[in-house]
Amino acid sequence: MMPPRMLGLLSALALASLLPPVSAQDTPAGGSADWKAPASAAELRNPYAGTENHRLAGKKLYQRYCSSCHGKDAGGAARIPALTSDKVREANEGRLFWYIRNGNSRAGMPGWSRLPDQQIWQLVTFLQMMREK
Amino acid sequence: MECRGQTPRRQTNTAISGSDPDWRTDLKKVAEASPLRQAYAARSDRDRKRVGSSEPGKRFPRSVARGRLHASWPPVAELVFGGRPGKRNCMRKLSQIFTYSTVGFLLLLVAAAPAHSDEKPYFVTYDHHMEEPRAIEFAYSPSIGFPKDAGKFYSGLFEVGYGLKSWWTTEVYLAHQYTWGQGGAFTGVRWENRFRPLQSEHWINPVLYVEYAHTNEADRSFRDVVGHSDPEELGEPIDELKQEIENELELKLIVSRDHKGWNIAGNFISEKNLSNKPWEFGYALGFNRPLALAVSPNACRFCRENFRAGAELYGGLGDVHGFGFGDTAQYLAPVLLWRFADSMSLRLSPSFGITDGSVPFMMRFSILYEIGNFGSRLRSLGK
Repeated sequence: MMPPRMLGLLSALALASLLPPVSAQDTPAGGSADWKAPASAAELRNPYAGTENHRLAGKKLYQRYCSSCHGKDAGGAARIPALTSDKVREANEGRLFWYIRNGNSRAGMPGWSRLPDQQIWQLVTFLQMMREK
Repeated sequence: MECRGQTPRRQTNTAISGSDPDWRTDLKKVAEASPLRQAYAARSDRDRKRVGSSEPGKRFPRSVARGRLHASWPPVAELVFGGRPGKRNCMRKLSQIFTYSTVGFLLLLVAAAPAHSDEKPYFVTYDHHMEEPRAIEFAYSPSIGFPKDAGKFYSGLFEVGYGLKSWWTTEVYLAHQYTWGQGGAFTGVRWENRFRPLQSEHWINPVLYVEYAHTNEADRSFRDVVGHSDPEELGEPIDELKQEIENELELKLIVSRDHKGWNIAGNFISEKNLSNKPWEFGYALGFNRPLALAVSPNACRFCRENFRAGAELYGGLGDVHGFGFGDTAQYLAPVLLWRFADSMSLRLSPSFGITDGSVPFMMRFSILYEIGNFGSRLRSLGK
């Protein structure tokens, strides 16, 4: 009795995994994600801005958490935006912090509030210094 | 246990030696001697009919007659699959092996993919963090329990979780247990779904949880604790307990918050056996924090940033006829998570029963592996 049900459930899960990632497909290539961060977010300041140690730490975090979707070189994929764009580099650091922390479910971007603020700032540092290196 | 209590070897050897003349002519009698022989005799009988032979059953292969297949069934497999192959459940075991192998194959298929492991150190409490969209997580969580008046048990929970959407995570669990001196059993399957209605971070973040469980009373996975406790149940024979099938619906309200590196989470649990039993209630509370908030630039395995520590408190709250802490099981459990590689984490939790109705001590472990963007990778394989 159990194995067929068990196999059925696993098959359903496998089929579900094949579903097209609708939310990601809604995002145009190049990433015009919804940046509706509250005005207060723009006031936040990166305590690690411009520091090499934290850029390297941010790179480590990027490889751990972000590269599976955005690519090892942050170049993006078919419908996942590149993070090497001017938009990211020149974005207000506070809004970038807010965006990473909260995500954007409609664009398929998960929120990373599970990371401590310090680690999100390290990620911001890495993203904004990426093209300088 | 179904597969135990086979014909003693001495008797088996007598049977194949041909010293018992009835053995060769009476398949029915032989079939009663051993479940494995029963299966073999049935197959042999079918083969004879197919080729039109009237010759009675031939000798069993030595491996079958001596139960060598049983002997070669490794203790680990017995522990995992809950018994040795034989009567009725041989095909079940094979199906289970097939299922586990399929999952293992998928795991190997994408082992080279960039991955990171989950960072939730709790065993019972849920926080508001969902699987990332299209990420898949595998986990195996063994526990060893030491009940007061019953044999110690080993319980294992295999888990596959998938982020269908950023607001929807689905997971399937397969559970088994082994009780010393009694044997093992497959104890059921669970299918859970978590929905997060509010997407961005709020002061407090709710998640709705719905689970269907098809388990038996032998289940010792302790994924949550609800209702009143029944310590005597732990001492009942596993063969009886596994005959008592339960179909349950479980609902949880999960609330959780992250603040300055800390996670604080609370769950209210309500569970309904879909037969005529009343709603039962339970709770879980937990907190945890990484040992370092910022990461170091260098790769390291034992540095503090790779550890999260905390504690959880969980237990039953009675049922609709008697809500409260009376006659319930309550547990206090420190939790520790160690991310020893980007792709893998280890959790452990010594759990202490703090009421008379609790198992006094359980040691719980879990190993987790998560693959990011798994759904897209799987689809790209077909292109």
